[in-house]
Amino acid sequence: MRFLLSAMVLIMASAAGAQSLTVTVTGADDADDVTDNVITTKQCGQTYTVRWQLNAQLNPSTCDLKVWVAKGTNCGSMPEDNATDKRIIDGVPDEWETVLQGDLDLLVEKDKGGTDYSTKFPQLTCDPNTKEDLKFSVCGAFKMLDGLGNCGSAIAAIAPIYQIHYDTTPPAKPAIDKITALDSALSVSMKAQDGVTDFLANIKGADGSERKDVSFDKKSTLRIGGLTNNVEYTVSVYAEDAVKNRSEISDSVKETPVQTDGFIERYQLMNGGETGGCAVSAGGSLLSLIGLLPLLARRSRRR
Amino acid sequence: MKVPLFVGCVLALASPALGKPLSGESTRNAMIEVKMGSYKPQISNEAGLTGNPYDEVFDGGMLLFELEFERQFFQSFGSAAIAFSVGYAEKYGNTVVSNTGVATAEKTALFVVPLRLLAVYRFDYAARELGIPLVPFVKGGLVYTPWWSTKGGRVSNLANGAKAKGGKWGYQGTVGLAFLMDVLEPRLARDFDTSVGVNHTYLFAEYTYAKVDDFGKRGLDLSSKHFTFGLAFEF
Repeated sequence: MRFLLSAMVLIMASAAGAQSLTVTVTGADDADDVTDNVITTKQCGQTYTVRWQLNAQLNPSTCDLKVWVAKGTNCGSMPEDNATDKRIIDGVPDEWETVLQGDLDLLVEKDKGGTDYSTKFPQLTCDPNTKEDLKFSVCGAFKMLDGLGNCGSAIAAIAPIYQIHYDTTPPAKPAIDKITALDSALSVSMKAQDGVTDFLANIKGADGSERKDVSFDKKSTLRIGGLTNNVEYTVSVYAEDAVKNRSEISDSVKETPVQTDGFIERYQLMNGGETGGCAVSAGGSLLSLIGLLPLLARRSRRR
Repeated sequence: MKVPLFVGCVLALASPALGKPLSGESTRNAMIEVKMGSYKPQISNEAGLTGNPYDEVFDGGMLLFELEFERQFFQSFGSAAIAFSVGYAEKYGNTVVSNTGVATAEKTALFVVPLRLLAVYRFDYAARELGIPLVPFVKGGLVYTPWWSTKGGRVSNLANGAKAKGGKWGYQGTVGLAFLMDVLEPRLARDFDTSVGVNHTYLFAEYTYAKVDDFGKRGLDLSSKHFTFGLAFEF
């Protein structure tokens, strides 16, 4: 009898050794303004959905399966059976499915300063005032029956399957690379900066005028028009990343727009008589001649 | 010495086989030219102008690209056609501070889009009947050139408040010489005809005199004297 029990334990142990758990993410989130699994402070209070897939080689000796959300990159230990939060799947599926998948709605809820979670779970907490990057993992694990038919305490596999980056880190303080005085305008150039998707400028004139948050439209150079020549303007710029974290504002630079002469201005200074516009009456003549082209073509002789 | 050598080469290339249309040659009634050249508007020709603003602001001519389509309506002793062409050229320079004349980083530019309606005569009789692979040609007709000028990427304003853009009418005459490239590889030329219908391919150069000043009216003078070079496909 003892031999039989030992043999069963060995068989079950070897079966447990053959178990594996691989997890993949098969789809991206569908939350607004979320890219690369990055949650911003602006998404606090919104639902963030990811599509996950878990591939598990389960067999009759699998007695418990859990998928849960953990804060950070460490999944920690398998949640206790009586835990009520952060759980997605609890228990063993009715059939021995080897592929499990589903959509996971994560409520990114503002930090209430404790464990005051709503009934919807799993939940993540975020604090718009926290200047710290937070990571969350979606984890999976299962247990095996031991040789005596009890659900074993040993965790057969545990793996972080998805990470969501709660990004609160702003880009580095930018520096204005070049500012050029134009006619009633200024041209401001910035150097490309890692992680920066846009620059925004603040412009303050010596005449009291002021403009804020003028976007570079994701380019490196901005032309600020509508300024007054011979008035000094102070320009400063801040950088924004993909999730709208804003950098510290750059050191300010001063420049004064000046009246310039282009080709037409030089031409007019030399007494040029151009008045612009098209000679419409003659245009009709050309169109008429173009209209003759198909008629002439029909008369062409083919060889 | 060079001219007789060139003529000698041409005669050597002349092939009796090219004299007559090759059997099975497809019909031909059109031609497309792709060409480019240096175009410099004669802005300073305008009466009353006290200087040459083009030369002050820009450095050299504009690179002109043109595409021309010809429809032949006469094929006997040479061929005659009506042609329409469209071109594009642009030139950038730097603006200067008004009261100091110091150059700035701000750009100013002149753009032109010459449109031409032309009558064309090509003396291709010698190429087709005598096997001499040179085709002299002449063109003449109307030109209409839309133009605009910018400063800092925006269309400038004229003193009268109008935008610095418009169109200029004129006329032109062109002479040119085309080299029938089929003589270099007759079999390939024939395959080109049977596969895509291109009867002949030419390499050509032409000289154009264009008077584009709204027939003498005061204003921007876009007249020019320029050479262009290109490839022509007859089909």
